[in-house]
Amino acid sequence: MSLAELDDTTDAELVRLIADARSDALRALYDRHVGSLLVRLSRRCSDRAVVEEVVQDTFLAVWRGARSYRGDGSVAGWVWGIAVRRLIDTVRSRPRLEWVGVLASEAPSAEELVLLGIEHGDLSGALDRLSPELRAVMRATALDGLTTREAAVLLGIPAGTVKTRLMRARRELREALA
Amino acid sequence: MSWHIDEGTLERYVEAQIGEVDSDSIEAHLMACDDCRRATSRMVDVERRDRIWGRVCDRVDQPTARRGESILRWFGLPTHTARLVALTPAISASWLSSVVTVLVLAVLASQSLNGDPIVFLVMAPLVPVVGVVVAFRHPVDPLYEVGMASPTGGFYLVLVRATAVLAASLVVTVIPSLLFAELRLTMGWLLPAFLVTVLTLVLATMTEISTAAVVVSTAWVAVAVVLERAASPQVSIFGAGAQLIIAAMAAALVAVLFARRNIFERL
Repeated sequence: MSLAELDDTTDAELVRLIADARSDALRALYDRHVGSLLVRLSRRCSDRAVVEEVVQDTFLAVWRGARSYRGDGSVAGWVWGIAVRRLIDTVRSRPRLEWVGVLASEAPSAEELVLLGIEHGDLSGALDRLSPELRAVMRATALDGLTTREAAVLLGIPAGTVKTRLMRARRELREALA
Repeated sequence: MSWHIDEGTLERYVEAQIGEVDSDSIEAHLMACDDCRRATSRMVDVERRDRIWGRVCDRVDQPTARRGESILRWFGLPTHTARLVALTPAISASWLSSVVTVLVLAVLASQSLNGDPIVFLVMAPLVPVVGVVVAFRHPVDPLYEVGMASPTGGFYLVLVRATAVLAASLVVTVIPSLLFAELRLTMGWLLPAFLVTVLTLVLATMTEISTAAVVVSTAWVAVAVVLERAASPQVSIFGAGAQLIIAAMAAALVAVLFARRNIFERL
């Protein structure tokens, strides 16, 4: 299989090839995922060097652990799961690292609101009105799929605080959408 | 996926010029959409992409550490010493398992002699001696060339590996020895084992290490058997008094070994 053929291969097939120690398959998977990983991690950690290190470790883990991919769930989700847990480990070992969970956000433009082409009701507006702390907790748990404890490490707050903020965020969203 | 994020929006997401909530939405979409994910990768600076890939490659090509090596490093041994130990032929699983087999046979032989542990006690000290020979006989040593060329080389290498062989032999010999009821008898081989190993190393400064091992082993078996036959149980070579003498001799030999360490540097 040549590089051009690898281009048409699905992610899951690439992972199977990686399990057979095919480094060209790793390269193909890297090219597909590196961009979204870099940007997504950068939104969660402001240190460029750390983000690159996490991406590097992630693909090394994919290389060594391709056999452990069970095929249930998307490869993108699997790779992201590895990456975000690497990030947590790094933050844990270097407690002074800054987590960028609370960026000031601008009001969404009309263009951005129609971005998804889906009628949200006012979900987008309701999310935007959440305080940055509450939104950070929502993102870490709902979007990134972290446990309360993992989110606590990343956000640098106690696990109990993650839970109460999560409850408050849900209540505010419910009220805003009612 | 039936719809895609338009180029401009994706570009502003990559450059972090878009609202938090929208960025979150884009990320949720990226998890599900192969095409948009590939488009994101194309927007990342090529130079940065290649640099990170280069670092991944470097580590992919690195040999993975042996299992034993990482355990040793976990115990705080520096990397280079851990590798030296892990690559010592006498510490391979196959070698150690054959040693255990021989020793279990020795225990069985002892028990057929009405529980007299003499066969085991005489054989056990030979385990590290043979181990040291295997460790330094270069045709089977993957690190022989490296050892020859290494600046630390010589004596340091000998010490590290001899200690590793002794420790490994100790562990595998203790297991069969526990089959004996009487602890004093079963542990009597420890100091003799140390003595004959150091003696082998000292003789190795004068002659081939395999020759040294044969001489020492033969001498040990002869002395042990003759003394055990002649002596009453109270003055056994594995008894307290004799063990003290053996310890003193071993200490003296260690001193001799250190005095002659220059010879190993030229080995």
